Amino acid sequence: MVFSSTTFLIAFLPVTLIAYYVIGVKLTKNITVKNIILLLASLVFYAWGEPLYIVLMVISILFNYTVGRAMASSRETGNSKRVKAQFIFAIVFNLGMLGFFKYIGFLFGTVNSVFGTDIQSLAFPLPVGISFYTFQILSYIIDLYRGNIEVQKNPISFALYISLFPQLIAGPIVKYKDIAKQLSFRKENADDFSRGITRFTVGLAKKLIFANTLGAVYTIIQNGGTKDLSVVGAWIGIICYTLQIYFDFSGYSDMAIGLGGMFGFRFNENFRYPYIAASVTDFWRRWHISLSTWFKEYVYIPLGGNRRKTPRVILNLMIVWMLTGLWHGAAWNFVLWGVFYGVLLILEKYVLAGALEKIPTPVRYILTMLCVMVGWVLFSSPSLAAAGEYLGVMFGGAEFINSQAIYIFSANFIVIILGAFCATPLYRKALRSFSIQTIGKLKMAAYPLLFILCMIFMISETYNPFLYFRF
Amino acid sequence: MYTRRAGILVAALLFAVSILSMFGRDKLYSENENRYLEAQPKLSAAAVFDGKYMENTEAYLSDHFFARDAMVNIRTQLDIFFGKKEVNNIYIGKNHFLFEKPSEYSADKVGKTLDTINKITKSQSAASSYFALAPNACEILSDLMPSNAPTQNQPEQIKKVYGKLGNMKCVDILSALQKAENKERLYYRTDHHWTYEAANIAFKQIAAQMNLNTKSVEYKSYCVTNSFKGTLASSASLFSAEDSIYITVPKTDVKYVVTYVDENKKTASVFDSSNLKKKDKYEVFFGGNFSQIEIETSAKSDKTLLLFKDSYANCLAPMLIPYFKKIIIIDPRYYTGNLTQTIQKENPTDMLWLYNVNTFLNDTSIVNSLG
Repeated sequence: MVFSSTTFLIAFLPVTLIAYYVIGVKLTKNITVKNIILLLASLVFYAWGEPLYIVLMVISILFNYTVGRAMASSRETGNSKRVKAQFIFAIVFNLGMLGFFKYIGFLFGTVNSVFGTDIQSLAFPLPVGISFYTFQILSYIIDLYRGNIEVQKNPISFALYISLFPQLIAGPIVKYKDIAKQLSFRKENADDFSRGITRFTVGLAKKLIFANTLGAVYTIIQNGGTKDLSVVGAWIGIICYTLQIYFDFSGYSDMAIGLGGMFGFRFNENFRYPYIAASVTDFWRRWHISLSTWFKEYVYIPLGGNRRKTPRVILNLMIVWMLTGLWHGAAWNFVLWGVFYGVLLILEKYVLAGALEKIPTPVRYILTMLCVMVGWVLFSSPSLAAAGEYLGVMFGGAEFINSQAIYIFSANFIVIILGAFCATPLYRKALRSFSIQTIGKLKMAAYPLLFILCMIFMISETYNPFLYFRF
Repeated sequence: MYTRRAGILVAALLFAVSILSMFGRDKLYSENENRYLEAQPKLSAAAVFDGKYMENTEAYLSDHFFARDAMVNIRTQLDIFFGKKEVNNIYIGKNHFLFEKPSEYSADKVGKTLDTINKITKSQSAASSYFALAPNACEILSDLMPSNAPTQNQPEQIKKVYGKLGNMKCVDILSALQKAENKERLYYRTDHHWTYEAANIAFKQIAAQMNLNTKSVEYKSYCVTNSFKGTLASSASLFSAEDSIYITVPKTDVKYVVTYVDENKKTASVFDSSNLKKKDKYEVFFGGNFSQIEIETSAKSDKTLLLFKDSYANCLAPMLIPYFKKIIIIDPRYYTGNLTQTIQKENPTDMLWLYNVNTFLNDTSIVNSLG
């Protein structure tokens, strides 16, 4: 199920809220009851979109719960070899599942194209959310192995950690140690609930009003191919995509954080205005924070992190960024996208560090955004060749402007400007001149209005006239 | 405090919408969308495992959402306010004109269609064959299209089609319409069809090619409705304009009987005024599109016309009545009969193909049901 669907909004969410607050919070006041309600809701939520792959997630939950318990009891008996063996087994199992379902088709395709073979590929549809929940599981297993956390003995709490529906299918990637306490104790209150539901509304608006609208513009440009594309058209397209992916992804995180708040959970922030970054390093401190900290904590630092000699640090960085690219999708353009960032970050760290500081800040904003947008071309193109062609057009390999570009610009520039404004903290600055009371009153009008707008955008997408149109 | 109140307001809205959407779920049909709304899906293991149950539930809940039509309409208004020039693939033109997106010319698809047409022409070489392709509003009223909107060169497309027709007389409707004085009266603002005025101009071109003596017949037109909101308005959910529909009646003493062959129905009029009460009022002509319609007339003529057509012909066909003893109208999109048999039995003296460019370029039914 997705948050921006009718089923979620007018059936799943109200029913889950009533069950949680009436039975869990008011009647029984019992954390186990609350967790059971949320777990059931989460399983329905996942099964709604993946009626078959839910089995996979349940197997994962049972396996990792059991391994966790086994590791803890091995440790109690002082058998550290056994702990290590169990740990390695768990890592292999989890990465194996992810690899099998996400990367097997990619692997076969690559082998076939490198060796010119024609091996029939085993390709499965990707189970929704597997990249996210596998990383959550790994954070539990690794921290348990390191002794940073206590083992989770309660199977319901453990299952709820993996399957909790707000962050299940698109993050943020919540590390077990950040949420362990909240699984056994949390207090709901009206303020958190209100902050949650308004945050959820903001996320919904980002997705429905901005991401979908701007995404449609980019789709038109991308589907049109590079034949009729002008330089201006290509830039409009990638600007729209740049805004779309931010609103889509950060909107999803807002909705997750908001929903979490509605049920008494606190998740860490996942985005911090990434498009006002003054360097690529800064960008990755602001973009998908839960993923970059995950890689830092569970891959980069174990590899030796910064404390090794420069060549080894460079190697470590390249490994981490190739994996980051690959995590986003099983295709070479994602790997290249990761490598692209790896190289940029190494350059900033070792070559450009001094030079960058001398450049005026506005220029640094622009340079960073240029890198980010080139990155998005790699990211969004269906193939490396298509990415190359698109970049060629952007940097002058076509006529400067044509009627397509003028048409698309004139029909969308208000949304683009509005989107760019909302993707930065500018609107906050604009609000600063008002008094707290005024801002409060504005909020009281704005959030309900935004919610109604979301409904309008959501329902109008389903308008599907059947008109014997051509007849 | 304010955030708390705002949150409570949003929560109240969420529950209100959920509850309000529970009412009106017995509504079966959407006038605007011209389709049946999704019914409540039945729960079964098979439907759950292949995901159909979830898909249909989403459609069911969306179709019966509170104030659905109003919301769609507000969205269209918002889109236009924010500068959008097209909604649901409909161009929002000037002077309240709406345009469908013009069709592209696919050499492969059109080639197959033209092969079929040429074969049919050959099979009845004794008859005179005519081909008439009508341009669409996007061409004739291109000034009213949104500036820079992607469009097609319909004169070029018509020329390409005409160039590939063997042994047929091609009727030039395009330049006749281009020369017309009040071009805005040639097409509906809210519908993808042409009006009786355009059809009348086209008729004169066809009649000239066919050598019909039109001087002896006088035509009179009547306005049958002023409140036509056509398919383009529904598609875009934009109902700010209304069109008038005129019908044209030849003033002669020629009587006729209309037979709907597959429906086994006879009527005494080519107009069906009951459709003026419905949403798609263009169906006043012949009651809509039917596979095969035959008009037998008392005209002093020994000619039989076989007309292959799309819906553009529906408002033109009545003008042909005084000149033929029999007119057989075939709409290949619905036709399932045996064309060879029909041609042998009726032995038409004239065959006319009448289409509009947008429909013709996308048509596959000529190949499928006549080929």
